Amino acid sequence: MQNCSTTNNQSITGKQYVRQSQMRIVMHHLRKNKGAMVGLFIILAIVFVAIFADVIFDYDKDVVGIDISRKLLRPSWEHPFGTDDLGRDILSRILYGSRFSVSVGVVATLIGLGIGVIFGAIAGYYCGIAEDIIMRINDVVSAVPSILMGIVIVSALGATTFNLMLAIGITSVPQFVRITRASVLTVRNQEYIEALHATGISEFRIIAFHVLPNCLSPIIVQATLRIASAIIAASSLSFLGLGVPAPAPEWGSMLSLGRQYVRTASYLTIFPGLAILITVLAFNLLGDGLRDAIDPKLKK
Amino acid sequence: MIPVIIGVSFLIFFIMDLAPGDIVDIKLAEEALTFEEIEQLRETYGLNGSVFTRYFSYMVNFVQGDLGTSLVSGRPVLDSYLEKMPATIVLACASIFVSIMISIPLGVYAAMKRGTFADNASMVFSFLGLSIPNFWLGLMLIIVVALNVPGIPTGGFSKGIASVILPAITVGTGLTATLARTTRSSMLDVLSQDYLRTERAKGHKEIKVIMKYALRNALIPIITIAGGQFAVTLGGAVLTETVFSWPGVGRLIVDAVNSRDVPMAVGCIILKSITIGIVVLIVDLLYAVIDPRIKAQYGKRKRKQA
Repeated sequence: MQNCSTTNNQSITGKQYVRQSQMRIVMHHLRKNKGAMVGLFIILAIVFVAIFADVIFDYDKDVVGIDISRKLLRPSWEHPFGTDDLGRDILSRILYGSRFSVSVGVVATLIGLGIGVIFGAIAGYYCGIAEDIIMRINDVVSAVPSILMGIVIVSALGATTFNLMLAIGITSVPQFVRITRASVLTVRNQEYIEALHATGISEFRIIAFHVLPNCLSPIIVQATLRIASAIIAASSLSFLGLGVPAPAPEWGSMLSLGRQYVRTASYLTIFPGLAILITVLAFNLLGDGLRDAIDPKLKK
Repeated sequence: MIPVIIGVSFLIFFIMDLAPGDIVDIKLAEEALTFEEIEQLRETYGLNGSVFTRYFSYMVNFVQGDLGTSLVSGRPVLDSYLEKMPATIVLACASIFVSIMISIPLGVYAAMKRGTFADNASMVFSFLGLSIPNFWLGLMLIIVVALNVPGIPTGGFSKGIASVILPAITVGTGLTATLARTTRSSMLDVLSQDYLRTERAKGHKEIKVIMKYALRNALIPIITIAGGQFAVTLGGAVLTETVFSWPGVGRLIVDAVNSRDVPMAVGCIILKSITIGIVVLIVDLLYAVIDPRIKAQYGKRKRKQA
């Protein structure tokens, strides 16, 4: 988005020099942040594994295939992370599980972002009654702790992968509303918005193409950090039995299985948890780095 | 606060209502009932009428202190909630204690040694705390500690202090991350101020300067975060309570939701929101105790209004 506005400027003024776009500046700062780069690298690796999980493993045989003859094997060369009570290979389940965790995290965040940005923009741009109503509803939704809200929604709608995404998405709406409204408020009174009003284009176009693009950076940072907490929320709900349905290898539900074997087969618990930890850590690192890169003032 | 409670109760009531199937359907699966019996059961459980009329009659009872009775155990919701409250209060106090004991020294130290290895290490530590799924940490503690150290149980609340240790560490370290970061940044704001140089010039020891003069001025954001965390844990740490089979409010709610015990779930969640609201209010009042300037400001405004 930021790139676009710069190229527009160039064509209008006709100047030939290369202006440093904001995107470039951000990337430059980001590249210097070791933590963020490590996070980005891990995320890319996880996404790679998630995409090619099909190629590496045979889903029906390794991931959900039941083979009692090899049940609860300790970690060995053949099964580096051991096998569970139904003889399923833990390593392949964890790698395959990245599909669920990452997609739930990303889609849930997108749902929250979509709803939150729309209402946040309305609240911030049109003050008055619309803002009051939206912010009061927001207070109500955020007064319910998010894990409880997730539990209630998933149990009401039924435990499916999409409902899980929806539930986590809804719990993250209030944060997006608040952050979008705050940054729209800083933009809406600027002179170029007034100028756009004078040109007579529709309010929708002003909000969608001229206000929101200038509010994106805090929203992007928030979204990256939200993915991390969405992944934790997804595995928490699955741990309680309210997530991705049974045979699918979701990390949280693997943990809840591991809990039953805590005394005898601790490897069932250790490895899925490590997978969650690494993934969440990667998104947190990237989000934190992005925040510093977008707003260097915040970095102390 | 009251509009929020009304909103929360309606929201929860409404969402629970979306669930297909109710207690009568569950009973129906267990025993064959005639049509009249079904209708009668629906009437006694208050399942007839639109969601709005049912919500209204629920709230009329609620205001009179009647939160309904559990569909599963048949006991009043309020009694069950209050019965589970002590365990949750113990856990909340213990975990906020753990959190403060770790994060304030960590945050202050990181701020003092800003930019050094110690600073980075403590921030990495708090970052890890932020990224660890809480329930997994609980399971790890069970594996590493409870199964190896005699006297520390893997769950329950029967062995006194020993049984609180692991759940408190689990919840506490989860809270540490945010609190340590807040402490650090709040201390950084204060440390650069001139009056600390004055205090040092007076010949006070560094530790006194930091602990007495700097920390006190940095407390407001720290108290805000810690208070919010305390409020949320007081509402029941759902996952940790599940992992450690802790007989608290969090598990009560999860069990209620899972068994479609609508009055129990709605009642508990409303009570929980009220608890959180009250604690946050108390925290706001605490500001005046910590910072005389806020008290003075408030006093002045009051005088003006009068």
